[in-house]
Parts: sequence; C-alpha cells; structure tokens
Amino acid sequence: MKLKIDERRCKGCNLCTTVCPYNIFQEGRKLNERGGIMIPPILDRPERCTNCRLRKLYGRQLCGACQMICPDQAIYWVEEDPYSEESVVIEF
Amino acid sequence: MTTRVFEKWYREDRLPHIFCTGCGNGTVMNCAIKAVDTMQWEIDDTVFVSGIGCSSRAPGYISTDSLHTTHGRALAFATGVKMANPDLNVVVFTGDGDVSAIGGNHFIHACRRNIDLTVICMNNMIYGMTGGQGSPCTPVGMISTTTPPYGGAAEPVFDLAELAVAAGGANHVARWTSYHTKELTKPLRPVLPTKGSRLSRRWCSARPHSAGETSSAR
Repeated sequence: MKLKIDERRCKGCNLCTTVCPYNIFQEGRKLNERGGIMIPPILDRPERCTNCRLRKLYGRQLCGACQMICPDQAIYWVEEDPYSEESVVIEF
Repeated sequence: MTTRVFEKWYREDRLPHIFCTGCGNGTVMNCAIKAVDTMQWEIDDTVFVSGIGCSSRAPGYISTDSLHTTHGRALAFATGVKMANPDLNVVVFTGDGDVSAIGGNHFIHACRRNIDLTVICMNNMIYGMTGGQGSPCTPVGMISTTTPPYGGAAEPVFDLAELAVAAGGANHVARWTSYHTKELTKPLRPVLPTKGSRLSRRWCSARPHSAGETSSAR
C-alpha cells in the first residue's frame, strides 16, 4: 500500500500533522496544483506508515488516524504493483 | 484498488466540500459514516436529515437519501420520516444554532418522545455560516459579532447534553471533540442499534466563516 494525498481536495489544514504517530506528514511549502492558497503537507518517508506496511499481514485497516481526522477526505492508500519502482519496503 | 474513506458513502462529484480549512465538520462526517458503515446499514435504508447551517450541509455530500430542511426543524422532519417508514435508519446532522436556539423545543420533545433516531450536533459555539453571531452555546466572555466588544457573551452556556438527559427519554448522550476520532466513532457503535432517541453531541472546532478570511487554520 502507498499513502497518497489528493491535492485537489486537501485544503492544507495540517490536522494530519498533529495525529500521525510517525510524523509522516510535514507542513508543506508548495502551493497545490491549482495554484490556490491551499498548501498540502508533504510526506516524510511514507514507507514508515503502519497501514502501508502491515495491512496485508493483518488483513484489515490499521491506525488510519490521518484518514479519519482529514476533514476533506483527501488521504487514501493505493494498492501498488509488487514490482514497481516505488514499491514499499516492508520492515519488521 | 484505492482505499478512499468510505468511498461509496460520499458523493464524489460534490467534493471538496465548502467547509473552511481545518473545520471539524468533515471529521465528524467521517466518524458518523464510519459508525454507520460499521453497523452495516444500507445506503437505501438510511436517511440523513439536516436543518440550516454549515453542519447541516453535510448530508449534501453523502450519497444516501437526505433532507435539507428548514432552520431548526430538522428533528420535526426526521420524526415525520420515521413515522412514515419506521424501518428507515434516521440520522440528524445539526448544529448548535439549529438545535439549541431555534430548534430547542423540537429537540427537547424529540428527546421526550424517544423516537428511534440519532442526533449528531456539531457544536462550534457560534453561528458560523452567517458571519459569527453569538449562539446560545457561545461560552461566557467570548467575543462574537453580536456580543459586546468588551466582556463578550454574558449569558451562561446552554448545555445540550444535560438538556437531553433532563428531557428524559434519550437513551444515550455523549459528547466528544472532533479531535477524538476513535471515541467519536465508538459511542455510536453500541448506541445505534438500541431503540430510542440518541443525542451524540460533538464539540466541533469549526471556525466562523467570515468574509475575507483566508489565513490558514489553527
């Protein structure tokens, strides 16, 4: 799994930066693709995300605090191809 | 495959919603939908009813049948929905200006009658949509556009949770902030299947929606 932020929805409230236990979300600097006032957060080593690493192993949603607190429903995970270049390295 | 948050419950074409940056309404929507989804309620059997206000725009983003009704009368309409078809699951989204001020009478009698519905009050302690007027839930001393500039709101705060208890009949009353997403989802879970009316009151960090305000939240 891979952590993603939908930049079309994110309004840059940075609530996700307050809840992530790994501090994956960091306050962003760059404007979103629309060029508006919304500054989406940047992801700091998102491969540390619990849900990314262990969702398959446990077979259910783990943690998910960022997704629940996101008022704009902008945070989601995507399934990725096991041999793609940006594959998540599983660490235990 | 993507794991968006409860994709089937949201109207994708309506998002992003109009709530301000960092407003807790979206979080409360997430939690309510998660609770409803955990209960395995069907989209066709669920009705979200709302009155007027920022919080009451929430059903517009949810793909179930919904009613966006007159100011404060969401509970009256919800009672009607429940009377017409008692098999429907009715959830009322409402704000503090809706349920404590203009709809106060509907609220206490909905509690007293013990109708089988759930009320989710998103209390931001102010009338946010219309420009920050003081509501009955504005804390003492807080400044709004209709409270005195020196000293702030003078009247004591309306405690909706206590009111629901005092009105009798409400089977479950809970109060959390929009930061407590786990706890917000939990109380609904044992509560939703019990018959009778429920008030779930959430402190919500929605900020006043005043014109020209563009700075980031918090």
